[in-house]
Amino acid sequence: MNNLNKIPIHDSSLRHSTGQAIYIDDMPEQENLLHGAPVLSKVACGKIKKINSDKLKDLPFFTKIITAKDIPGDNEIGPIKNGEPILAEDFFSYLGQPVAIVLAKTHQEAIYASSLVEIELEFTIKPILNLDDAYEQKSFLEDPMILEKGNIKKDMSKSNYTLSGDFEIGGQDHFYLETHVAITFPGENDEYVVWSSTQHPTEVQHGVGKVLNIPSAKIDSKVRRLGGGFGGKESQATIFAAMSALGAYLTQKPVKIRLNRHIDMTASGKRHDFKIYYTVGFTVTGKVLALDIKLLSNGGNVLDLSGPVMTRALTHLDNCYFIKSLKAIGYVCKTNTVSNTAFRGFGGPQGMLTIENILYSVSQYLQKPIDEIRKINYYSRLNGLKTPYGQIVKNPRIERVLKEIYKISDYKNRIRNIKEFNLNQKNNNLPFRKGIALMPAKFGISFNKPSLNQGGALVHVYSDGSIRLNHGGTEMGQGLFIKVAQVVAECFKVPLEQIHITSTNTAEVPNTSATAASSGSDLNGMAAWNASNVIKNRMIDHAAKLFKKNKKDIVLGEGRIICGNISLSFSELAFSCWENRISLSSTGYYKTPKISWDQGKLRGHPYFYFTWGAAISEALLDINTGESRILRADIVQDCGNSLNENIDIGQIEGGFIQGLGWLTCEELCFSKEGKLLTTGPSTYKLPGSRDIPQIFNVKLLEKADNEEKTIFRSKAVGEPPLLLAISHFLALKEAIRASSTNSRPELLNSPATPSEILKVLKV
Amino acid sequence: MTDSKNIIYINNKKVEVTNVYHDITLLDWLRNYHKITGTKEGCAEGDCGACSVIINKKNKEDSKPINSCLVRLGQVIGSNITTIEGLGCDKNPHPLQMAFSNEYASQCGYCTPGFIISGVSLINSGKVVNNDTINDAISGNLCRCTGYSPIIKAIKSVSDRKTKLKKVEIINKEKKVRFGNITYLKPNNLKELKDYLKVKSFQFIAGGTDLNLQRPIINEKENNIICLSSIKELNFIKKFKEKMVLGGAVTIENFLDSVRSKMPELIEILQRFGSPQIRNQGTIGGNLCTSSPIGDLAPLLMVLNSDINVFGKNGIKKTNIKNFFKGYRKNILKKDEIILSIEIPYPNKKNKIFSWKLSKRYDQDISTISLAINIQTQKNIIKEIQMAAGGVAVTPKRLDKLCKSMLEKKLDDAIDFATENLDKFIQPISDLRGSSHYRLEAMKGLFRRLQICLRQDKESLSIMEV
Repeated sequence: MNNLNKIPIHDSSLRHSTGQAIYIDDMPEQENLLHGAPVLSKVACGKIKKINSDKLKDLPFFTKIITAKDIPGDNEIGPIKNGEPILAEDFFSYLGQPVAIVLAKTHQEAIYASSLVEIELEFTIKPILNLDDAYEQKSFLEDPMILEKGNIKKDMSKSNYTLSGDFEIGGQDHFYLETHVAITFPGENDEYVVWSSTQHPTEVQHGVGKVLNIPSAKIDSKVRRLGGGFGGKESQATIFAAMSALGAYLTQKPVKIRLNRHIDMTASGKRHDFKIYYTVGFTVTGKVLALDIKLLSNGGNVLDLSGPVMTRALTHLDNCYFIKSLKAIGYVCKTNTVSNTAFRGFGGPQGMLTIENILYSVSQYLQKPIDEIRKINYYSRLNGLKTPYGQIVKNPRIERVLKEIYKISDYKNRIRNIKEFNLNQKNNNLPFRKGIALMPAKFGISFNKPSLNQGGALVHVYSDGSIRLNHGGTEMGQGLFIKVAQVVAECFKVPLEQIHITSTNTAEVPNTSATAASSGSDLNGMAAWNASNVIKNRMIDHAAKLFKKNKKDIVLGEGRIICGNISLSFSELAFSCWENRISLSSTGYYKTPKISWDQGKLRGHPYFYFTWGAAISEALLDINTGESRILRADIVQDCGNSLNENIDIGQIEGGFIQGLGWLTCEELCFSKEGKLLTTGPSTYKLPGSRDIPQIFNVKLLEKADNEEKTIFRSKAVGEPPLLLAISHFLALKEAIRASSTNSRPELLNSPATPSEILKVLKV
Repeated sequence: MTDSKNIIYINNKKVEVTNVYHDITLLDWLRNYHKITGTKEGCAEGDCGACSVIINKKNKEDSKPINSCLVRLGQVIGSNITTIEGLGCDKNPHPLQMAFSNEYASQCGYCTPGFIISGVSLINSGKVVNNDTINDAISGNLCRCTGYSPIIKAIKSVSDRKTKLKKVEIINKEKKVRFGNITYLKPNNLKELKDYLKVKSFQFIAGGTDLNLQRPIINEKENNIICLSSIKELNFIKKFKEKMVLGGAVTIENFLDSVRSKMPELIEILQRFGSPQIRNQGTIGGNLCTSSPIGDLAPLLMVLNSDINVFGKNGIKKTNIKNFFKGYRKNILKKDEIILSIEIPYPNKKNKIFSWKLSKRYDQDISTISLAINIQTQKNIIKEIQMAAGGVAVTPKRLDKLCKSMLEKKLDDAIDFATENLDKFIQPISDLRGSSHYRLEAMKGLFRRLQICLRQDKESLSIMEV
């Protein structure tokens, strides 16, 4: 949908470029504002004896220390389960866990003072730091989840071959450029205004309320924009917002908490690392009959969102493939590391990498191209359309997507060229090898928990015809605000500039869901559409009276209300509505239809619809050093009838590169004491501009209206492109396979760092 | 307290530095003391570029991007700082700001000002603007949202829109400034330096890109920081017939510019040294003095048989770089000695020089291992060989014993010997940059790369060139 035939740019883009866009830390500060810095645990597992802040007394500047004892309400922040304190009370369960907050007049003073606080311990316990240890010690955060379908025993024995293996999938830091930040302003009568960089203002409101023991109605939670979120500010932002609120409550002054990068990376959750153990049964042709699989995910010290992450991993294990019999058990392991959390894809990428790795091993075993194996396993009327969790895959678009990607990528020719290249390198004793691989993808859209699939909006039309838009979604760069503004402009048929976009605010739209699960524009776009329609209908009713015509004969277009040869401008009609006492304000509400889910049985229809996509990547490898890079990527993504093609392409390109980072250079390293060693960009390497493919073709699937009734028949885009980067991981395996027959690509763990690659290369 | 004469120019506007009670960074001062908030803090360790600003230290056309998180206020008194706000605003944007907006080059927008500072610096530098120079110009900037394509496109779209940054008459020449417990002393020449050395406790600083990360954010005790950057005897590049001599305070970026004609073998390793922001601030002397086991310059300077001139109380003494490093981040310098200059002999024309760095990421990364080689072969026999490696011991290490056993051998035999016996010569450790196994295997890989390069007469064999 192009408002006035032009694809709008991001609403804030020019202000981003001039430095005028205001982020939380840029907001004007009151004279009496205090800064807080958390004091972090130096051990991964141990009992706290005493918090010693004697050294603060010698400092020549003001400080105040806050501990769990000062919390007026509950020391609880868990988004799902209790037992997740904002400040450790008597026990540390990971190295880096906040135990106190030190307030001071400047950020620098607060950080410095926080380093002087000493924690005396009663005893320490050997921490659990890896998934195998946790599994062995039955250290889990919740009961194992079992997804079962068919008869695994029978189909395993019917298989011509069975193959077992295991592999690891590393975690990932979000590395939003803006670290966690929040400011709380105290007001009269226990009112608090909390500005925080959060994807979930309502959860901040709830968390602050719980910690301060104050009802939600007294707490306004706001955010204009985030400097990146990617899931890292879905539940985790609440922790730091609550810290600032606690400071504001105790001092009755505004308090800001802004984490520096090292603290942010140490004390906030990341993408879950997984370890997979599997046995797969298949026929001579490579048709998978049975898959018996165990997924261990690293939940960290507390549950946070790890349950739903595992659910999404389990429900994306099938990817595009019909698996006759499946038994998948997901164990959310409890370890003494920071609690892992949402991250773009939310378990989906881990589930999909799992099945692709397994199919790769099958293809290697059968000495066939993986594409042949895929072809006979895709969801189809012939193979079957029922997912392991019971939802039917209606009208799979995988064939359409594949047809398109083969075309734009010149796939077949390039496979041949690469074979030649590799042969030529080998014959000339040269060290380079190339690989090329496809990644087909199906991704389920909707929060798995049905209650989260609701959105709200508040639209005001003023008597001058200007329109103020507010909704429950947050803007973190993904272009949600401009998309929703386009929807409203389209409803009223006014120029986009007439819509004023405003900060997300729980005082305007209450009880919102997190802007997550790629659902932002689906939920809020529809809610804003509904709100606008209410007002529009009132205005048309009034126009009909004015024109003394039938409602049906009135149309809106280019900022005017037209009926035959008479018309009014939108602002004239708005003014007339006001004069005639017609309300020009409305809320709008939307809930996703058709969805249902039984979390106990892992059965139902959790996803309103699926998005489809595919990528083909070409990898280059130096077999001497293990260095690698991506040479080319082609992507076709199904965005339905895109609300904003350029914004969507930006999401696809950015998501893909983020996925590349996850699978190649981004490596989280811990010491044997459980200390995260990679706490800044000097040691934690995300992709730079030279790491992107030189040839990078991104195309949206054409004529792809969503079969479900979404806003303008569009589809979600935020998460799915990330996992398309799995194509590069598989291309690297192909390049490794081409290096020598002794190489073991199936053993390649993620991330495929030079070190990891050299481990499986045998030259 | 500072005295009121301390001046910094922000976007050509004279600003008195007052009410600064701690030894803060330039970034902190801009954001928190003046609420000039377009410049962002992303990492505060010089690796993300969100805090980039353009600095002009002299009244010359010498505007360069630096990381404002890596310099302390005391180092930049008297400079003119151009921030993103100095380039334009929404009512009157700079062409590159407009291009970023139109090309969808910002998503969350937090990194955007830093990228624009880097982009404008490239465009204004007069260099050719192409993919390669753009990638180099933004190698010190991270974007987590866009995947970079639209950023590169935006910069390219206005590559011919050079803009002149206004010049201001800089008047401040304070030689002594104080913030909190820290006094910055700024000698202009070696004579003044000698006088300053009489103070009780002091630390030298050159660019500060490493030291400022190690220094505490608040000093409870008094200390003096002696800035070496403006000492004129440390700021020269001389090209002689046989060698090049560079002052210790020459920045890595100026070093890079100076080797392009005479020693092109150095370009790649210097271009991969940090980022433009780091190279504009960091110095050759500073890099050697940090004496990190993985310093990118050291192995190459070692195989080129460079000499270091050390300046101290008793005058100047010359030492070969192979004798300079003494242990983990330790060197031969006494507390009051500095690197005056480095003498780099031009390599023998019959020799081939290779310098390779392996890291998780190509740009702006610290090497896992590095290897520099200076070799001469005649009829496939090794006649001369010097090798030095980084990341394999507590200091950059010359592989003299290994070289000795490769000498006068056939190339293939020598390489076989080196790969088979490597663990007798180096015993690298495992750390977050790579395992001990990787370091050994990759080093063997580099020997095989050397073999191919010599056999097939290739300058390099980098995956970036395929």
